[in-house]
Formats: sequence, structure tokens, C-alpha cells
Amino acid sequence: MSGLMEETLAGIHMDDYLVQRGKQVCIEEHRGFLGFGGSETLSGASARLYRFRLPQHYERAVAEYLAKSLDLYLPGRGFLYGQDVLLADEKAASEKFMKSLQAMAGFEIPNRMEHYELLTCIVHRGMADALLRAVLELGLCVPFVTYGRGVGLRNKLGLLRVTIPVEKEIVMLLVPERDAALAANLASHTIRLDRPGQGFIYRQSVRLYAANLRVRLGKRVHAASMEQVISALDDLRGSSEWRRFSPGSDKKKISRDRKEKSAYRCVSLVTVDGSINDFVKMTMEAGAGGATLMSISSSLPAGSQGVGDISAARESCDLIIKAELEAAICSTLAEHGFMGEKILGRIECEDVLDVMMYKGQSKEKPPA
Amino acid sequence: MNPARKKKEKKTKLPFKRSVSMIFSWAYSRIKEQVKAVLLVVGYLVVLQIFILKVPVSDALSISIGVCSTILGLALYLEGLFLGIMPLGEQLGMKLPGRGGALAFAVFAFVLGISATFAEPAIGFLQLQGGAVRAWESPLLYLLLNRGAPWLIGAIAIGVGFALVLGLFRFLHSWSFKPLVFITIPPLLALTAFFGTDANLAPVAALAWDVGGITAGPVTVPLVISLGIGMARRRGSGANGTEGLGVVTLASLFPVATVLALSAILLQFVSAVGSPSSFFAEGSRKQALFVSGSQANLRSIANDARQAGFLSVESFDAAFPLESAASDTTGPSKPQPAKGERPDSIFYRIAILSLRAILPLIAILLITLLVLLRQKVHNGDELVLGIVFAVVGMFCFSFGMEKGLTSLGAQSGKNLPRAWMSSTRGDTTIILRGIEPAMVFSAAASNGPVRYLWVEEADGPRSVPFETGNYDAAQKSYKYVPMERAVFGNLGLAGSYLAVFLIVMLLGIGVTLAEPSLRALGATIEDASTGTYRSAVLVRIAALGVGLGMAAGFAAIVFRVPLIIVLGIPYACALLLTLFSSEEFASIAWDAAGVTTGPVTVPIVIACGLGIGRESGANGAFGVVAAASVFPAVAVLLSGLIVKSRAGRSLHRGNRG
Repeated sequence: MSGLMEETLAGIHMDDYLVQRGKQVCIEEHRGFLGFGGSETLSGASARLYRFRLPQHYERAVAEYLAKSLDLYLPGRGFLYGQDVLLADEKAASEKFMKSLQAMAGFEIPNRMEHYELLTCIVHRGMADALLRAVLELGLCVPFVTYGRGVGLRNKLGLLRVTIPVEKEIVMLLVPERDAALAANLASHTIRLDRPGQGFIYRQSVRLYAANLRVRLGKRVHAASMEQVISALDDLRGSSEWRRFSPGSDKKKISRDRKEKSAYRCVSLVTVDGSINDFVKMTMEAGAGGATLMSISSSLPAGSQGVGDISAARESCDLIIKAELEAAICSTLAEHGFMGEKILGRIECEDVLDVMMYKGQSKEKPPA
Repeated sequence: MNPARKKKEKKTKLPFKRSVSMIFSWAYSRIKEQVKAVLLVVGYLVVLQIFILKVPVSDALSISIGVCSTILGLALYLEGLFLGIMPLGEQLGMKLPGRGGALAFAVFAFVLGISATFAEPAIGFLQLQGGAVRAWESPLLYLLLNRGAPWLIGAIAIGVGFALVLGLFRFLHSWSFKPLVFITIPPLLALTAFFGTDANLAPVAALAWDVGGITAGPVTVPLVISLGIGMARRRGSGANGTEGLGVVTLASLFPVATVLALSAILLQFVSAVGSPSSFFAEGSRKQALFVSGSQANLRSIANDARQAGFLSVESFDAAFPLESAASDTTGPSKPQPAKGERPDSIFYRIAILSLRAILPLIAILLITLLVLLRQKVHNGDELVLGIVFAVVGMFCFSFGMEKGLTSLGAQSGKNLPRAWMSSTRGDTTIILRGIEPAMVFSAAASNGPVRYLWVEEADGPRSVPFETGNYDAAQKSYKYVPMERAVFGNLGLAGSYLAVFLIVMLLGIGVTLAEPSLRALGATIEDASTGTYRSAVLVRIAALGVGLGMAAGFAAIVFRVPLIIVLGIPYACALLLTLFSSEEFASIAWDAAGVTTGPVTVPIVIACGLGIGRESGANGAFGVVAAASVFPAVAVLLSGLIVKSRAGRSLHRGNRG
């Protein structure tokens, strides 16, 4: 799929994107031998998350283009969502890309957009299985899992820090807004947020264009798989409203209210590999609690193969901070050459609906 | 970041009790993992020896200390790898392609390869087998393991050096992996088949393939893999994390080629394979001198041969007319084994070995990074701690292996032939008193009458061969060494062979689970693939492969199957499977094959090999390491294909309609 994805992006001259390696998890059924010993295991297929920015009014057109080209409306292919971000850096999109966007905007586009929530759960490596299983068994969504390294209190400990495991697992769940509260409760329950140091969850509002519903791999016994039936019904009904888990329809309103009141922002940083640590330390001095670093890579200019002075390796981290710290953090970073040639930094600020963590701790310092 | 700010950073002080408890729980979790890995094989060896071979474990205390030291060493070493050495390799891999030309890059790779070879602790184990080789039976092998050992290691180093150059250039230019395997292996197999036709070259071919399995050990592998991962990450989205693999495969194939080449060059200088008397004869003195190195060495080999009964006194006198055999009553002149070594000199030797294994390589990496590339080391304190852990870990590990697992393995190996042969137990001698010469009776046999004596045993009297040397006429006593029946004697010969192969297979599985480089590879792959390939699964499949390979290797020794068949068939299978595998999985499988035989497996294979090989008249266990190293490739490739076909099927089903 990734080759196809890159071709598709190249088709609209999108040459500036970030790639994050991970896996999409689903439940695999094993039939066992002669009907004995059948089981269901979690099975991960390697997947990549592509991130890029574009002006909001082109979002629907590009989403439709991508979903069509990549056949994302088929179950098991992938998901596609859009999110509002505030750019705090001055990186401009290429002219070619803007031109191809303008060319696309003229077409008529069916409205398939739905309001979803992105739940990002950060837990210790290896502790996510219960969460994954619970989400999959409910058929809520297909989680996307990546690995990261935590920084936070750990880095203030000197060499004693090596005794604290850094490895984190980051689970991304895309769920319909009306089921988000249910999913969040389920997640906080399964990763035992009632205990200290288990992890934390934050919720963000996104616009979903294509969802991956393929929660199960196994023997197929009908003319169409359940996922295909569901996506056909979604199509007929025009939304996935009909398959809600939670009763009542005012959930949407509640989350909208909360969105306005949210006290948190997510500041997403990207730098060339190896330099993010210093900046994360700076943000922590400026008041951020901690972060989870991820190794990602960026697209390379056409024709380049990583030979020469250009490296595609990047590091990224999402800082969840109090809204009032945002300006201070962004300016601190800018002062220290974050956007410079050497660092190639990017800052994106996003709204956060809610942050869930162990209640015994102060909210200002979400655990890394 | 500016220095003023750096100073402002405060460290959070934790209460002493809390720090200690953190360190303890961390150490506990690390050691628990190693205990699981090591105790399996130790438990297996002890059960095997006590309950199956029915021989008590000797030196139990020193073995227990050794096993504990191995566990501690493994825990420290792996932690050192993950903390210090691998991040350093990855950082260097990411920065390296940016600076300097292709030539500088090649020089770096070559130097790294050469120093990696001198660092590998397992290479020394091969020479352990040197003692079992008889100079006249395979002069070339004898030469390479004794006087020519530095040449052998030099050839290996050049092979690894070239492998690294090619492997790192592969990353740089994204050449695919599969063609390299197809280009390298068939010619090597053809050469091996050709070598098989010459009595002098055949055992050397086995040595060459063994060397291939050993070169990529616990120091080289993590370094090379992390370098590769770094270079692959630099290339960005086109890379999928496992692209950093593949160098290990080359590093285990190229030395095979260089060792084969070296032996082809040396062949013309050494004596032909023949009887001891022809080896030492005046006519072939020049070649014999080349093999032994000097007149004195040659004489001491001849002297040993005479004392072991291979060379008659007349032939000795004919070969060395000035020095009569009768005047020489000194014992074998071989260097004494390390057993009598003083403990402090063992410490010293192993400490030097551990430092030599790690520091030069790290120095090369650091110099390249700091001086040539002018980069800052990330997390310098973690790097230093990692290096200290690695050195101390390597020390504890090597010490523990020598005192514990290897010694235990050697005991079991020595006793393994008891499984299918009746044997004497050296430690039980019974003095029978009141034996009159009249009690000895004769039985007719094709070579003349044989003398027997009736001896009362638990299940009634039994006739045992009478040996005049054991009879003391004055005391009227007879020294009787009871024969014990083969352990699996009632299974028949075929059954007992099968039982032995099963034992060896389980042993192979057990030792591989403890192999540090395989686990480092597994962890790297798991991390790079976000857990899609589980480390534990890879290690288990590779272990199964090693088990099968060891069984096949020993079967080949016992039944005298030519090497080309033992290696040719699995390599052919592996190549065929590679054809159908994905690029990604092929490199995982071949790399797994390269790393499985390391410092835990090799000494145990050799210990068993010396036991089994001696009884079946072979020169040590050459070829077993090679077999143990190709079977994992087959196993991993096969498992990959099974997974792929299952995933493919379900994807197909799901998307249809």
C-alpha cells in the first residue's frame, strides 16, 4: 500500500509529508485442529500513517481523491481523517501542490465526512493488548499502534533514569463522536488509569472520511463480509449514526460544549532526528509535563535517496499542555532556533477535548 | 542549546530508599529474563547427565558459580547493548552517508569489519578442536588450526571486511538483498563440492563453513544491525525498518570464501594425506616442516604420535635418526589445558578478552562520529554506562561460560557416546581379591583364543575379558573396571542413534534460546516492525532450526555423510524458499541464520562434537556449526511463507465481492 500511497500523493504534487511506522491490529480467528484448540489472537499488520497539511477548504477534495485512489472505502485498507491545526511555523506549501489543489476544487464532491474523535492512549510497551482486544471485540474501530519513547520526570533523574522503562506504546482509536465517551471509558478502564503511572489518554475532534472496519480476520462464510455489510449500510444511510453504542443523541452536544471549554492544547513538534531532546527539555522548563517521542521519517525531495546531506529521519512528539502555556512554549522554541535550517522544526497546535489520567496526580503534568 | 540554560537544569533528587528500590526492581526484571533463558539449557544438561546418562555432575560448585555469572553477564551485556552500543551504531548509521566520499566510507566499513573479527570471542573456540586433529590425517586442517591460526583469522577478517563494505554500500544504494544471496551461495557450494574430492581440502571446507557461522557474534551483530537500521532510517519512507538487515548474512558468507581461498593457496605447500610414517618420512620433510613450523615441533608431534601408538619406534627412528625414541621418555608436549590455570590468571585472560572484544570497535565508532563527522554523541552518560555494562557483562558472561555451561556441556558431551555404546566408567574400579590364574578361562575366537574371567554382578555372574595387565599375581588381586551397558542399548543401534540425535536437538534448542546476538536481533526486528514480528517467535523458530541442524550435523558425522550433502541440501532448500519470500523476510531469515551460532552454542557444539566425533573416529565436529547455522534460515523462511500465505488468503477472502 505504501508505494501506492506515495504515488497517489505524488499525483497531486504533495511532496512534503511525514510517515510514521506502526501497525493496524485486528482479531485473527484460528480454527484449531478438528475443531479443538481454536482461538482468537491479536494480529498486527504493519501499516504507515501519512501526515501532511493543506488549507482547510481543500480538505474534502483531497480526501475524496485519496480515498478513491487508494480504495479506502473497502474494509481493511486504512483510514483517513482531517483535523484542524494551527501552524506555528512558517513552512509554506509548494506552488505545484497549490495549483493541483485548485484544479481539484472545481469538482463536485459527495459529502462523506463525519464527526469522529481521535483517542490517543499512551501506555507502557506491552500493556496495550487488553485495550486493543476490548476495542476490537466491540467492533469500535481498528486501532493503529506505534512505538515511542517517554520523556518526563525520567530525564530529571540523572543516570538513575535507565531503571525506568522508556518504551511506550501509542494506540490511536478513531471512534464516532457519539461513542467516544464509551470508548474513552473503556480505554481508561482497560489500561487501569485508576492506578498511577499506567499511562494517559487524550481526545481530539477530527473529521473522518474513511474508516477501517476490518476488526476480524478469519474464515469467511457469507457472500459479503460483515464489514462490507456495515459499510454498505453506512453508504445508504449517509452516515454511521445508525450503529451507535450509546443511547441518546445529545452526546454530540455535550462534547461540543466541552470542546469550547477545553483547557488543553496539543503541541506537535517535529525535528531532524537526534535534536528533539533538547527542545523537549526546554518545553518542560516552560511548563510542559512530559512527552512521548516517536521516530518518524519525512518525504525526501524527488530523486534523493538519503545519500548526501539530506536525511529523512525525523523525531516527533506531541506535548499535551495547558492552553495558556501554548504561546510561551512556541516562542521559547522559536527563540532557540527551532525553525532553523539545522533543525527543520515544525510546530502544529491542535485542540484537545479532554485529557484522562491518574487522578492522584496534578493535571499540569501528564505522565510521559 | 545555550550553556547557561543547560546549567539551570535541575536534577530531581529521589530519596535513597526509593532509588535503591527502583534499581532493584529494574535489575530483577532484567535478570529474571536471563534466568529463564539460561536455566532451561542448564536444567536440561543436568537432567540429561544425571537421569539419562547416569553420571554424576562433577565440579558442581564451580559450575553453579559459572551459571550465575553467565546469567549476570548476559543481563548486563544485553542492557549495555541496548543502552550504549546500539544507539551509537544507529546514530552513526544515520550520519555516515552524509559526509565523505565512497572511498572513505569503504575504508571505514573495511576497518570496522576487520576489528569486529578480532573482537569475536567465539572464534577462539574453533581452535579448541585443533587438539583433536592429527597432523598426518589432515595436514592442511592441522596447519590452519595450529601454526596457521593467525592466517586463518586474517582470512576471516578480510572476508568480514569485504562483507561490511558490500553490505553498507547495499544500504547506501538500496540494492536488494535476495540477488546477493543467489550470487554468493551457489558458487560457494560448488567450491565446497570440489573441495570434497580432495582428502586434504575436504575437512578444511567444513572448517570454512563453521567459521562462517561463528564470525557474526554478539559484538559484531548488534553493531552492524544498528548501523544498518540507522542508514535505512535516514533513507526515510521507502525504508521499512527491517531493511537495515542483511550485512550479517554477508559477514558469514564472505569468510567462507576467503578461508576456502586461503586453503587453496596453502594446499601446494602441505604434505598429502597419508599414514603417519609417510608424513614423517625424510622424503616429505619439507612439507611436514611447513605444517609443523619447526623441526622441534615436528619432532614433538612425532613423539606424541609414537606414544599414542600411531607411529612405530622404527619409523620414528627412521624419521629422526639423530634422536632415538628410546632416549625420549618425556610425556606429550602439548600445552596443558586451562584446567590447572590459577584463578587470577583466568580473570586476567578473560578481562583482556572482554576489553579487546568491545573497546576497539567502540573506539572506531566514536572516532568516526566525533572526529571525522564532528557530531555530538546523544546521551553521552548512557553511552558510557552502556559500554561499562557491556564490558563487565562480557567478562561475567565469558567467565561464566567457561566455568559453567561449557564445562557442563563438555561433561555431557564426553558422556554422550554412552547412549549407544557400552563403556567403562573411569571413576569406578573394583579390586577383586583372591583371584587364582586357574579361574581364568579361554574361549575360541577367529583371532585366536580370548581369555575371560567370571565376575559376580548384581544380576548374576558375567564373563568379562581378562587383561593380564590388571592382574597382580603377588596380591592375587584383579583390577576390574565394570563395563556399563549402553543407556539406550535396549532400543537397538538405530533406536539409540535416534535417541542421541533427539538429545542433541533439544540441546541445540536450549542453547539457542540463550544466545545473546539472536536476542538482540529479535529485539531490533520487533522494535523496527512495531511488534509485527515478535522477538520471542523468531528466537523460538531459529532455536528449532539450530536443534535440527545440530542433529543433522551429528548424524552426518556418525554416518560419515559428505559435507556437501549436509550443507548442500538445506542451502538449496533455503535458496528455493528465498525465491518465494519477500525481500524483508528473506533478510530476517538469513540474518537469523548468521547470528544463531554464537558464544553459547559453539562451545557446546564443540564439546559434544569432541565426544561424539572421537567415538566415531572423526576429526572433531567440523561442519556441525555450519549445519546448525543454515537450518534456522530454512525454518524462519518456511514460517514466514506460512504466515504470508495465511495472511494473503484471509486478505483475499475479505476483499472479494
